[in-house]
Amino acid sequence: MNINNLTILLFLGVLLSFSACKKDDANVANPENPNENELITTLQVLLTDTANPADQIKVTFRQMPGHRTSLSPFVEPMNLKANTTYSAEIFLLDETKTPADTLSEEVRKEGNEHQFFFKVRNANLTVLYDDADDNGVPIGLNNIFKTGEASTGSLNIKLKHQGEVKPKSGNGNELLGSTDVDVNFIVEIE
Amino acid sequence: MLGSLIRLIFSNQAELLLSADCFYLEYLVYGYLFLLVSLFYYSLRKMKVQILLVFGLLLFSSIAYAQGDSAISNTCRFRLEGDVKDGETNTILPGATVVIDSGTGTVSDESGHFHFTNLCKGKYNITVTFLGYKTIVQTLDLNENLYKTFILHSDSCLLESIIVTSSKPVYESSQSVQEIAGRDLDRTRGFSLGESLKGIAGVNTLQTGPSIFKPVIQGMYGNRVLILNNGVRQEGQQWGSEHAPEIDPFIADKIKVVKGASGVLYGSDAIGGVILVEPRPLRIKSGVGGELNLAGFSNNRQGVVSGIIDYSVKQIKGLSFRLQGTLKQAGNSKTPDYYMKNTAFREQNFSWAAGYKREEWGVDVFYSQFNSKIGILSASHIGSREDRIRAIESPVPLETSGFSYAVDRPYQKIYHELGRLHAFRKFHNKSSLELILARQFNDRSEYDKHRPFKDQFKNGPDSRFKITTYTGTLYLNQNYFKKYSGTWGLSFIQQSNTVSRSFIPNFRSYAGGIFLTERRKIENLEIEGGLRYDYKWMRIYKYEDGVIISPSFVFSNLSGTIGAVKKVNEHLKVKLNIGTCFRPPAVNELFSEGLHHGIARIEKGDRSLNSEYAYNTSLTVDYKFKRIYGEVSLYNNFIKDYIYLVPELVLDSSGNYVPDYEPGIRGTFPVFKYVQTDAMFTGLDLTFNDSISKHFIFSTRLSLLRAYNTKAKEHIILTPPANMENGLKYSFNFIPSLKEAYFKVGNTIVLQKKNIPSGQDLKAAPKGYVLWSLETGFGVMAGKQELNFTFTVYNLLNKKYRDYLDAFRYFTDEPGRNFVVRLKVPFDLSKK
Repeated sequence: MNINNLTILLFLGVLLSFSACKKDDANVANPENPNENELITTLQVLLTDTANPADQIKVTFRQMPGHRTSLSPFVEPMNLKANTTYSAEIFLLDETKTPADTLSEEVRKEGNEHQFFFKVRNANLTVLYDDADDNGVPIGLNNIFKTGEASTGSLNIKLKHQGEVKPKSGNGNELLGSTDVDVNFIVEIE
Repeated sequence: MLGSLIRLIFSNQAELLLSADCFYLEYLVYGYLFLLVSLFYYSLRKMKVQILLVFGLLLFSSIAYAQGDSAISNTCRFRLEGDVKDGETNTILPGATVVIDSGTGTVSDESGHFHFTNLCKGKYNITVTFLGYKTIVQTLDLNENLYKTFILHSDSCLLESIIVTSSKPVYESSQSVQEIAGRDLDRTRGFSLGESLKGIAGVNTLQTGPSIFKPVIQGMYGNRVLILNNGVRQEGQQWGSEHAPEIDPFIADKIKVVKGASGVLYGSDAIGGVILVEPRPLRIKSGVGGELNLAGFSNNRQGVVSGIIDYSVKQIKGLSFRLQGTLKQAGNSKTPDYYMKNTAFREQNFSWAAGYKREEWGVDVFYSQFNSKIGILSASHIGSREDRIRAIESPVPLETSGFSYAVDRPYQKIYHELGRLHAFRKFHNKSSLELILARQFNDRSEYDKHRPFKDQFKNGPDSRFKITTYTGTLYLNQNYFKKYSGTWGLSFIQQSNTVSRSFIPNFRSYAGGIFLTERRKIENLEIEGGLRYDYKWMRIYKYEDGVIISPSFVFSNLSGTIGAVKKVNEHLKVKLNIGTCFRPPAVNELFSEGLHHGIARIEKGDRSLNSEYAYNTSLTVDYKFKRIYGEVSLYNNFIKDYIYLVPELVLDSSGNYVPDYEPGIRGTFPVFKYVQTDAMFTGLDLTFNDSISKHFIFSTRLSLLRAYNTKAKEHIILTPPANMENGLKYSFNFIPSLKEAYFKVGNTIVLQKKNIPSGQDLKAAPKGYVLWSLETGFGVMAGKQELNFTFTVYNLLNKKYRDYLDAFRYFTDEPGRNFVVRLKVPFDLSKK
């Protein structure tokens, strides 16, 4: 290698590092508001009596961020009528924004990668999926809730992000993927 | 056979250890284990048992020997030591012959080092010879201990035959300082910085899978270990256990580890020790030279290319330049049974330097840039506690894959740059002034497994940390007073940190320190002492309940050190050091607040934490009896107000303390809190070598540690279990075309971690393991070009194991067998 080439190479190296020299642009004294980021703060279940569509109830689970001693989440009980069929739609919201962002729309768009799973304990409640992704596997945003005799129990709702491992046929597999949402409601059927 | 023996010892050991609450008993047990293993080796090698006895005696009653032959005349007490280097490539030269006055002679060792002891005052003629190089003859006037570097030039080269680059009095640290250089460093090429240091007794690594290694010194890591890259404090987001140091080890031609608290000279935080990454000096001889390094790894199909070009201008003597760069790409690692999904990584680094150096003064600039993208094992990223339980209980990771070089979510992307200006001025009385100014910028982005939903967040990182650090240090190496010499200094550091979507806040901090160290020699005794005062101011900026808060913090502390090095006789040197060091709480310990995804727990900081204060005592014995040599270091590091993370306890309805769980929209998570206690780290590091014959060297490194929480009266988790490394090296010369050829068989023995307090870890500590390795290395001439090859097989028996200090031990086995080939090509393009 002759000396001139080497000098050019070194010069390029120096130039490269100056152009790359990054500035710490953000202002330290103006921290980012955590609410500017995407957060799932709220899960709502909108229940509509299929026999009487005017009869709607909305049940909410909400946990707002930004508190030093985080508060216990706000959870409403799910009061249902006995022997009734409800259509149940699930909404995921980011209520740190005004107006609130509806993240469940994105879940629907990415239906091939997500699925809700329901687990009922003690209450006479049956949950049936009423939607499907491109492959015909349920997503779980729209469901049918059927109640039986009066009883009390709980309902666990889980949202799994399964990416490319979500099954391409069948009714889904709860064991796959990672959990995005995992909430419990008290169910009272009377 | 050896394996079964070790297993036998281990199973007996386990029972013994369980009953061994008493710390000394535990150590006796370890000592006994060590003796058993070494005894086995010796009987295997049919070696004289006397040596072992000598060694045992040394371990347990070195004092008896200390009385030995101390009757050496007072006038003949000088020491001459130094290094022998190749003038073209600037690499060390092992095996060079150094003779004084045609009488006493020695040969430079594996790191190119030689020494003579008990020399009388007077003039000496020193002859340094090495085949293929011009012989140096030089006259030295010896009236103090001297350190000389001899630079040899190749026979074919018709330049001046000798340049003595440094001639400084030798000072020996009273702490244990060990280094990796030369052939030992060549053997680690392609590894990350943390992994390269594993061969030193007392140094381990805290891992996050096969690609992230944090060095652990005597049980301490992260913010408690300071790394000096080219004399500059490495500053990134060191608090994270999955944040590896952003340094390309190819920059270094020597990596030193100072064990134990070293606060006075290096500043706050150096509670566990200091790692010094030292590049080779810029080229002196005019012309162009350099080195090319290549490495290939079979397990993750990793390829590494690294090159360095040095140029010294002929027309302007003392003006030199350097350009260096490294490229690394690795795919998924493979355990004996499956691929570790998404453990691929890549790295691109480069650096340049330019300097002008005269006899009396010099100035140089250095710039380096580090870029990496590291995949994180898919199965380790979990959303909820339930996911975590399932992931941990599964015997194989919940997600495995085939081989791939692709880096998918989750991953980290790291950028680090360092610019440094260094200048020195030497004065006639050997005093000197040295200034180092530096700016660093570290930009770390972390991408979670699950992309955010909304488009505006989709492609961005899930957390981002940017920290800019300015540092300045001024040293005065003083030699003004006849009997004393020392280093005085001032240091300053300014940092600004901005984060996005993180559980740590923005901050700005300023810190300054002033220090003074002095040493004095009295006959065979060297004593040293030092004092330092540090002051740190920090202001936090963060949103809390919708408004910005900006509390400020002040930490100030005094630290000190005192030590002595006593050369008892030609066989023994004893070093004693007592040092203190403080560490202000790191920003995560003060302010963490939120969910830690990797381990599915909520971590909470505490704003009222104080500085940690370490009181470190170490006793180090250097020994050399005929063919055995090495170092034994005993240490005790008491840390007042030691900060650690424990499960938060709350009172339940029946009045009992139970772990706290916080419910949230992702489920419930256990809550961990940073608290302070007092901790005692006590241990032993041992280095032992035996040149059994001209061809065989047996070597052992042993590290034992007991880390104890003296307030809670329990052991501290995540500290290294007892571990040991053995090697038997056979050097051969029956193939004349091969230079420095050897075979080496080695093993690493790691015991199971015992006495872990319940409730602090997610899973029981994995079983101990033994790994075997095989290596051969040699130099060969291809025409006029020298090529240095090293072939190594790591985990030779493809052992399935998990390591206690790997964060992924909950999810996956460690990588299996790995064939590694390394090639080093030193070159010199100057006209002969």
